[in-house]
Amino acid sequence: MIAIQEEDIDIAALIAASRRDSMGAQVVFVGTVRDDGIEAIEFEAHAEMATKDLEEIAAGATETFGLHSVDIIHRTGLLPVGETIVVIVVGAGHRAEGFEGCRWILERIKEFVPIWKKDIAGETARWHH
Amino acid sequence: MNITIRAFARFREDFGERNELTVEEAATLPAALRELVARKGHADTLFEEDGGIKDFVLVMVGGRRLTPEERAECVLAEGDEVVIYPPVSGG
Repeated sequence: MIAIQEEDIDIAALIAASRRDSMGAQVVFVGTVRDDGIEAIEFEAHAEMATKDLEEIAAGATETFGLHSVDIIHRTGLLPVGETIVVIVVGAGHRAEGFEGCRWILERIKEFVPIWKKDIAGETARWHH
Repeated sequence: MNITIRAFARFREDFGERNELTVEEAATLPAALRELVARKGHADTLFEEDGGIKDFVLVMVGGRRLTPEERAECVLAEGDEVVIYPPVSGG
């Protein structure tokens, strides 16, 4: 599943749905809102373009690392400290390509996918970059 | 001719989410952005003092990302959708 959505993510369901008998490893990355002296982060996305980018990243990771499955869900909207921002679930034959593929996906997301965040702290709001 | 300029994140706060503009036939992208700031202000968000587009301004036309070189030379067509946005920060 590849999605940009406001709703929270059912991580356990995502893991269960993506599991295959061919897999020896599932690597799961969960990005969360860290308390850096803020109350929340507001995420905005160009949803159509971001979804297309995530699909291309998933295809690239599958080909590069020989992955058996890739799921990426990134949330938008106002997310308080402790909330889930992004979940990546990678299924692989072995752990090495699973870990490498998962990390590669996250770095690509941070590199060019059109998603932005704004720190919210009381009356102050500050865009990253 | 008519074009649309969409803006995201802090650019949206300066220019609004969607602007329908009428520009000259075969207007360049920089010319279209100058028309946008003529209407909405905030020229310093997009332009250097010498009139060039700031390096960090990212642009898509018709769903395709432009390189800095393409950005300077891009000629727009009737109905084009331009998207402008600041550096990304997802994940």
